[in-house]
Amino acid sequence: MTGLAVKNLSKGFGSLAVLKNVELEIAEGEFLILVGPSGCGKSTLLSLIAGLERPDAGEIHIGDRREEHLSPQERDIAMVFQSYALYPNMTVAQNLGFGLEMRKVPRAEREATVARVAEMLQLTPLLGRRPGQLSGGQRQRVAMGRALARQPKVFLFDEPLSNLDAKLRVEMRAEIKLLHQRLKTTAVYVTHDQVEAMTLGHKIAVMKDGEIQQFGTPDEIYQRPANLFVAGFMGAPAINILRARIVLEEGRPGLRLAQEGSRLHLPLSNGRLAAWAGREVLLGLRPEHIVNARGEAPPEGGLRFRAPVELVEPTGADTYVVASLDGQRLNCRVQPSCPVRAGEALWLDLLPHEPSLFDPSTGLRLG
Amino acid sequence: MMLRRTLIYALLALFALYFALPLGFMLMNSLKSAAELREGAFLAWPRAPELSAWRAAWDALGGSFLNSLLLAVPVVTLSSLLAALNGFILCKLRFRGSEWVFIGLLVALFLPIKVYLLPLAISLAKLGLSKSLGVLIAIHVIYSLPLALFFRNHYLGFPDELLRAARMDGAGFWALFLRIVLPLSKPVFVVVVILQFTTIWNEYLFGLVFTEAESRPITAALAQLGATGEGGVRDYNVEMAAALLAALPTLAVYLIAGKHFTRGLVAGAVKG
Repeated sequence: MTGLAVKNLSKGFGSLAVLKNVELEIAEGEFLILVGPSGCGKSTLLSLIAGLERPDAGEIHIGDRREEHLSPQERDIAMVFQSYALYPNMTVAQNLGFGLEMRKVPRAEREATVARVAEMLQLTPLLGRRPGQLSGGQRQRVAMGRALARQPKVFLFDEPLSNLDAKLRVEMRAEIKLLHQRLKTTAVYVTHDQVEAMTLGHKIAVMKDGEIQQFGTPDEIYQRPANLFVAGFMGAPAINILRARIVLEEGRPGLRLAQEGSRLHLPLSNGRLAAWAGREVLLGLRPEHIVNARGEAPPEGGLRFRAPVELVEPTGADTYVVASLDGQRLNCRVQPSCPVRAGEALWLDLLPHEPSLFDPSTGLRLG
Repeated sequence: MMLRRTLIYALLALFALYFALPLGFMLMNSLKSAAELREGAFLAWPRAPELSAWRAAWDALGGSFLNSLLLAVPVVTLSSLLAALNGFILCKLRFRGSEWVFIGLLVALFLPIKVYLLPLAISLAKLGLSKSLGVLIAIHVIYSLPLALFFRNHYLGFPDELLRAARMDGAGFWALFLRIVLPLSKPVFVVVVILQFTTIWNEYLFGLVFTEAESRPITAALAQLGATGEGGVRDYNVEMAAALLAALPTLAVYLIAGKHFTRGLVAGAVKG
């Protein structure tokens, strides 16, 4: 069953088009991430789903009901705000129960729900306090609890973790995921943090300039980015984009990367790319696909080459190395045990995988 | 450092004395008997303090004191609530032409109230409304509409996400206003209530013009009390007591709410 569907949705403020023909659909119980840089329209899309703004055109379906003409009160939706937006004049208990009170839930039932939600989020000892007396993390929990208490059809999250410190953010992220696994309520989550996007979402919509660049599972978005923007936005450290040329060798397409003197040749499994023979393309390589050379020969279908190291960045679990390939920078992930020093050359292996290739003129994915 | 501090306090004490002196003399003389005053002992301490002047003042002004309360309390309550509501609408629920309403209120704030006196008197006559406390209350409530500007400015700093959250929680307009906005307007409310109470309590002109003798507010009655004594022997002790009586409620309001007043005045200035 459809959890949430957005059809051909457009919204502008004055002459500025903020959203252009947005199409999305997720099944009931799925977790949708809207991710993109500031000003990409993700928060506006969330406001439209919430009913806080009215679309200029298009449809919004929640469950099997068309809702774009309904006010927020009439939609069965709860939202967690970036600033938490707790009512400062009310206690935690009153904050949690306000939505139920507004919907005329009987007092006894209301109190039972508030107690249950407080228990779930470990807020029970704080029920009598006011938001001003809570820490950032506690406020965040209350904001979540207020949404949970309502038991809505859809949860909306507007960058809920962006005001927390790094450690707490990771904790709350896991907690949100656990809660969702338990409750299985359809959710839409806006973030500009691609780690949150990857870890939480069933589906991700990457947005830019009011348009959806790609809509798919985290795996699709990461492994098969639809264009250069998506490739560059998702993943940290960022994907390497290199100039390369498609060549035909024995009738099979391959990729040629020039490296001073020698030429690196990477066979391509996708036969359709033969049509691009002789033309220049952009190759996207994730850092984890370029590692320090191990063993006698590169793995089958891979490539071994030597490149001077410009910078070494150990993170503990991995060490990232910025190597130079014909003046292009290449971020690689090597083992922390690999002896590597800036200024020296290092043997690197390009692991076999289906590389992402992009049309240099349109930025769109090839093949 | 110490010296400077001492100097500042000395100066403050001097000013305090300067401003308290008239009040002190009024209080002293209101406790004297008429006979004592006739001897011309204006500056002396009361020989035998007594409350006869206060009793006389209450006999003369008690009714109008109640009139003033019956006037000020409803006017202050109604006009500040209305101002909060209008300020909220002007600030957060912009509608077509709301800027013009805002400018209109601003202009109205700067126009002296006396400008309206004649047109108002004519309008009331044409409408066939007789002079009464009720009419005066209505007039004051209407002419206090610019108070909305205080609230409007306060609500400018009011987070929109809070209102959005309440709307998502299912709050309609009135729930939004009564449950969220109003409880968070306390600091401005204190300022507006004090200003408004002082203004309405001390208002003289409308109170004189738009009421009959039995519904006079205390300011008008006080002026009359002073006027009746002219030409004959003046009961200064009674006049002093009467003036103090008329000033007491505003004094009380400042003393009780003064702390909140300064807090409210700066509440909008520094986001806390």
